Amino acid sequence: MTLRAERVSKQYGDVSVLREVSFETGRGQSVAVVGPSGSGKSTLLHVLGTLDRPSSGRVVIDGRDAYALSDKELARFRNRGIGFVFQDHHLLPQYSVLENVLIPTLASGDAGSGDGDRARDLIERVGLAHRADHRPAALSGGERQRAAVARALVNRPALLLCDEPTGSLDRARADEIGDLIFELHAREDTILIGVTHSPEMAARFERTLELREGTCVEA
Amino acid sequence: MRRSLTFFWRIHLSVLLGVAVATAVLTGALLVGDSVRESLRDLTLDRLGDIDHALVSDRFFRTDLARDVEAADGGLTVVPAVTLAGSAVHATAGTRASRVAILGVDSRFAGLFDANAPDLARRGAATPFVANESLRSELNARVGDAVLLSFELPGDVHRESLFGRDGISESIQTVRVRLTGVVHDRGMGRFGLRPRQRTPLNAFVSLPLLQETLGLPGRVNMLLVSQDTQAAGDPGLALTRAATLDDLGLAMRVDADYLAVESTGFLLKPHVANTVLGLADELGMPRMAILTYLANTIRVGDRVLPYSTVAALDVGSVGKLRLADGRPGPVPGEGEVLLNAWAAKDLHAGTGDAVELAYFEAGPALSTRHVTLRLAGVVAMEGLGADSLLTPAFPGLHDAEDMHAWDPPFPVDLTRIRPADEAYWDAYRAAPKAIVSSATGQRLWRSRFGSLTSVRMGPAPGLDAGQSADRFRSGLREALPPESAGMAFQPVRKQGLAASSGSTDFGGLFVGFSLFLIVSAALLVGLLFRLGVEQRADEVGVLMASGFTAGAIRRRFMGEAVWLTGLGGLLGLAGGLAYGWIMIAGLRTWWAPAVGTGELALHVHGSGLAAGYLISQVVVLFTILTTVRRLGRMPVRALLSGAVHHAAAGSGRRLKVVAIASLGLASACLAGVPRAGREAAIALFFGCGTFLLISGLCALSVWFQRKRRTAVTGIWRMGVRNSARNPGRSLLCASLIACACFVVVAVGAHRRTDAGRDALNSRTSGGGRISAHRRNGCAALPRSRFDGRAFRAGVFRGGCPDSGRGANYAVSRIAR
Repeated sequence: MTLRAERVSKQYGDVSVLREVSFETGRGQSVAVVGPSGSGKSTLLHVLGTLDRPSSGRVVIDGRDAYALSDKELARFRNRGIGFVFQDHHLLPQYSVLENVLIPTLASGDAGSGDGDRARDLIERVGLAHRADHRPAALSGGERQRAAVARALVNRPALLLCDEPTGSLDRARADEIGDLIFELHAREDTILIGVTHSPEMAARFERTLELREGTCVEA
Repeated sequence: MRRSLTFFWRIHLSVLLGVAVATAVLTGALLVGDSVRESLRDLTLDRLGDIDHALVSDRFFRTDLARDVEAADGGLTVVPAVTLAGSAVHATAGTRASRVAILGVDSRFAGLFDANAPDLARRGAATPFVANESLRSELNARVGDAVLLSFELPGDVHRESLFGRDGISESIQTVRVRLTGVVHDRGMGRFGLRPRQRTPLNAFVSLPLLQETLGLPGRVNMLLVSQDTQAAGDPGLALTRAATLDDLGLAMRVDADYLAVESTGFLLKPHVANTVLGLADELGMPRMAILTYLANTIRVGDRVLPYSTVAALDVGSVGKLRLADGRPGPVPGEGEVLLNAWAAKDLHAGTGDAVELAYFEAGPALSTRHVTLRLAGVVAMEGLGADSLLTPAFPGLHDAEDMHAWDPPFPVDLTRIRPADEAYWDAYRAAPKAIVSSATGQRLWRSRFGSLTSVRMGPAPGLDAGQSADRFRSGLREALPPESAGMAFQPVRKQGLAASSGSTDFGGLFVGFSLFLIVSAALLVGLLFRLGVEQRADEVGVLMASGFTAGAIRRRFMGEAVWLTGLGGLLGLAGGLAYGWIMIAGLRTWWAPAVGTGELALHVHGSGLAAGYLISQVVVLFTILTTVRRLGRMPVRALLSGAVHHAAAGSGRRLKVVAIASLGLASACLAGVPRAGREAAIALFFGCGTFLLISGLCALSVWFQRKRRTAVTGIWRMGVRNSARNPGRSLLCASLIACACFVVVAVGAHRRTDAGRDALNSRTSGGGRISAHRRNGCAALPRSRFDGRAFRAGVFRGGCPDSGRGANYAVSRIAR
């Protein structure tokens, strides 16, 4: 799988958030996106993740312009090919850890027993086997984020997008989550793109893109 | 889904209750409409029993006509009865009831209601009568009490004609009766042909006894028809076959030389006279049209004859007229008169003398007119010169033993009558003393009530008088259908049912009044659901990020909404039943004047419940769908951050156009109110309110969209800024409050206060206080109506103390 951003720009009204950002990456690679607050890091991640249509430019995934797909195809592609880990875990409070992890498998409408096994395997790998039936309210911050990581990977996405996944955690928990993400990235052979403010975290990525006032520079 | 429903139970419970309220209000309004309609229908069916058609005539006809109509159509059961409008007064207490229906009935009448016949057999001197409970209550009478029933004596003569003036047809007869029984205000007790909701005041009297009292044995003025089978024919056709000339108010007299057609109403109605004359011509029968009138005075010089009849006729081949000297009688010309020998002798009149006639002219005011004619001859006292049958029979005159016993409906000075006049009366009865030409008579005495008193006809060519009479009778029956004499069966059941369903559409009215409540409830549901969904905005964001399509997410939330609205709707059905019950209870008591009866019952139909349920489901689900659809269009980053503020719908320009257009439509509705009917005015009122609401909300939305650059310097500006931050939610809240205000104002504006002159107060004998208002022309409460009796709020009829007439009272408050 390859991901290529071609002169991607994004404007919100009069405000230009991204200005002709271009870069390319491939399977197994990890890219950190760094920059000061408001530089457009999260916007870039959402554009790459097909959640936010760029004002101009293209996001080409495996040779196809992602935003040329219909809404339905785009949703399917997002479901099958992309995993998100947000700064805030965004676990659904009414469901258990296992159910939260299984949510992406429900989108396609053809969830099978294999999905359950996969979810349990991931939960075990993120160290929450004993918490699988607990609701998010019963988990600590780190545990919730680990559950979110498991949810992002349940559909074996080729692209894992992490938006400051450790931003709300203390150092120890942040390292723990960072280790987990990189371990799973290596094991699942995904493209890992992560937005982070942490230089230590950024240093663990193979490449670093720095955004300054919407423009991207390879660090 | 179940997990989501239970996890967010607080907001979902709110939504569920909102749906329940919307369903309850809508279902309740529909139930009220159904109930009022059904109750009025029940009242109609109750008061009519098995009666399908009824004939009520202003003239009495043969009781046996009922039997003859039955014979003409085997599918009909026909019950004869007498109905009179009158009043009743308790003989000792003096309590009065007006607009009493006095009904002469026999056992066949009770059979129409599957009821036992009331005991109306005479025991002792007093005539028995049975009252319905309302009449008994109005009179505050008990079984055994004596009551005076007063009623207008029926008459065939129009009251504005000379022979109907101030007299028999207008005179009131009072009979003393004794209350022997009371029937409930149901079935027979509620009998009434007029489609009205109030319980009539019915007094049942034995049919033969009432006929005897009226002096009309074997005569009735009402036929009630029950169609026994669906195969029964048209009662109108049966009536046409069965009715005789007698039933139509015509009498046919057959003499050896002629046959004569007269009216029981003294004058032949114009169309009847024309038919008779035309038929005579058609059959080739010689005819003589006769108009006999009363001259108050016949004067020649200084000699006068009081109260003499004058015949206007054209002497032809019918009847003989010979002068006193034996020569054939001349035909009097215009301005001429013939006197019979008796009159000429009494007046010392001779041919060529001036004869002055003084007579009453009927009209709005009775006036005396005079005409002077030239005496063209004196006729012998034979044939038409002394023919008392030229004067139709008339009660009060023709049957009087002597002239001093006259009891005519017009003023007479009996002191003017001399012995000679009595002698003439004894010898010749009402035989005309003078004869004028038909043209002169028509000029002097014709009126809108008729121009002929009888028509005499000679035999048809080749037939004797009897054969001619048979042919003429049969021809006249064909030519004069009963309808022409005002005898027609009315489909009272059909009319009653139509009236019960065609009056005020209470369902529509209540839905109208409840509409804003329903809209409010729907908006509230939408608002609550929006709040619930907005609380879960990050869930929507996660789902979208996880690959759920917007449609799938909508379906997910709509699934929850369907469960909530479904359950809320079921709860609302129970609430609707309670709402309907309360409304009906209110209409039975507090708002009884609005429907005119307190006898309403809650009628619950599956169709009404289903309609209320389904409509409320559709309305609420549509509202929720609108909310969810908007949420699905939000960017994921906004959803994940929880910044899900809906913009106010529409562009500023479009909103301004809608606001102005709605304002214009509201003005148009308002302008149309003065020219609209009652129901249309209500629709315009609601239309005006709706358009004003839309206009106001659009204006508010435009105001929310204004860019505010001024700094927030106080609480007010902070509030404005906060309201504009989430304009959709603010608009919903404003709509909710506006709807509530509209309902409050609308109800207040439509409330009848009856303050001022119509507000009446009275004290009961028990020390209680009654607050009531009159509904027509009476300035005081009938104390007897309430004294010493149990009563309740509602509509009552009572005799107005100051006018003695019946009045309606709506009792609104009772304090004991």
